[in-house]
Amino acid sequence: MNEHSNLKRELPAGPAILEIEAVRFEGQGEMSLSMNQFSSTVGAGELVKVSLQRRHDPRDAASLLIGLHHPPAGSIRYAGQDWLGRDYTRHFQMRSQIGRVFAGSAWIHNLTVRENLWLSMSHHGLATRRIKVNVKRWVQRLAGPRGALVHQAMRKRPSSVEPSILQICQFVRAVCNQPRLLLLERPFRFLVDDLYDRFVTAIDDLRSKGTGVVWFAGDGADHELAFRGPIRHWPVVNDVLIGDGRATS
Amino acid sequence: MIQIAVPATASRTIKRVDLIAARAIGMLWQLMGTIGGIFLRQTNKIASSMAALWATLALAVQPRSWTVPVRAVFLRQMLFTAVDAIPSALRFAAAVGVLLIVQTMMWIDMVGVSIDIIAPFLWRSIVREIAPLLACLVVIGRSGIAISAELGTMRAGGEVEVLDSQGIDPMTFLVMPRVLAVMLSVFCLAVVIAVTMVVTGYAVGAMMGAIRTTWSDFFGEISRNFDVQDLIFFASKTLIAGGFAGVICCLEGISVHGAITDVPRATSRAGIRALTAVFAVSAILSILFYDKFLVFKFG
Repeated sequence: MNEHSNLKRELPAGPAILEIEAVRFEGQGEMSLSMNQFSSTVGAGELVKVSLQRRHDPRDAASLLIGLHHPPAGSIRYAGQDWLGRDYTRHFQMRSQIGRVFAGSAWIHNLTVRENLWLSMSHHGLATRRIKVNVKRWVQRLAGPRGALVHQAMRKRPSSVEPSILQICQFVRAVCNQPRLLLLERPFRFLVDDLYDRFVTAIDDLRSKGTGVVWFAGDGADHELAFRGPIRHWPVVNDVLIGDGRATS
Repeated sequence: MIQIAVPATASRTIKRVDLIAARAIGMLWQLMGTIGGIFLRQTNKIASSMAALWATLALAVQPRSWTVPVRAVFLRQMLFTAVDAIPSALRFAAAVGVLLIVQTMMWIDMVGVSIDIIAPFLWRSIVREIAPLLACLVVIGRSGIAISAELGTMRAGGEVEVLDSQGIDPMTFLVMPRVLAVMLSVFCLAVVIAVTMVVTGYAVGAMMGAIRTTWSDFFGEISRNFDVQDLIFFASKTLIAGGFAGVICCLEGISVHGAITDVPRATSRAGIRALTAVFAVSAILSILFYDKFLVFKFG
């Protein structure tokens, strides 16, 4: 796979989508990542890889990036706008442009999987017909031969669906509204190996259209996945996220 | 300068008295601090409930809040809180209606007054006080606690964060439709309860021979005594009390922190606080509306 990656053409780096400056933060959980004077950017089309250890929980850090937690020091700007103040409508509008694959709890359990997939798009005013087309297209693309299982699962509640199918559905939900920023928390966990290439290609395609990606990696085969450059790294040292990662491709 | 020599024993006594006085003053301050703290906490809770109710109404009047998923949540909640609660409301109303009519007839016999004197009293007590309160009790017991448990579980399970991450305001999606549904359900169920109480009361009273007037006389007496003031009071009481009940149950649920094991505690707290609020709101509204403590104006 790595050999194959060398043949891939590097994506052009675009303007910054996410700007993080001198942020200090400690997560609520014991295994949460913390930040100390963390500064970095995520550009359009760029992929930032955070290599986690098995014990790390990226949820708080990911929530911080989209303004759900406020850092005691420093600033975070998405598309040139901050998460401060009481303009909640603007904040929710900004978050509607961000796709997220959660590492832990990811579903509204009293809704079916289909209702969950449709929820955000429907709430933000996308026409039903377009939602249907989008979801169908992405299920076909990501699930491939397992598409029938995904469609079957959509009628059920999340608690009664198998994790590998749920993970595909999570991915569909995260990408099907063409997000400007994609937060992936251990996205390949539970996924069957056959689908890795489909997911990598899909993420690269989104990046070529300007989506910035933050990928909290750290599961078994994550290091073998061959994404196109540019890829930045945010190393984790002693549970602290370091922003001065070197750019690699 | 004159110096007074104080004996050693007197000096010790003065010191002791000083010490006791200082302790007493300290305890008094501490007591005042505790009472002040309790007062501030309660005021804060009332203020946050009122703020949440206001925010809910402000959101509800904006057409853009009523997205397809929000409408679905509202309709689902109405179905659960109003429609599904009708059988239990009917049961309670029938039982209370019978009790009320039996008691009334007993007093009629004892005091020796006729039905035309007692009918307004009966109707007003039902419309103004009993039906709204009974509707609130049914809604809190059946749906308010369920709402609190549902939202608490969602909060503890990280589902509220999932909504937030997708740019969905939990206040718009979770709280607003539920509070509105509770408000409207209390109103609708109170109408059902009031009618059921009167009909069952009359039916049982007539069967037992306690009521000797015809249904048309009985109903005519009631309708003659029903005025616009009663309707305004009934609507405002059910909607405001229902609004407070809904808001308190939602806030208690959504403010669950930590583990899922905290949900039962939050749920029982929600039930008690919502009931307290409903009784308090009923009493305050009665006083404000009729400008007197005794709300029943005979005749």
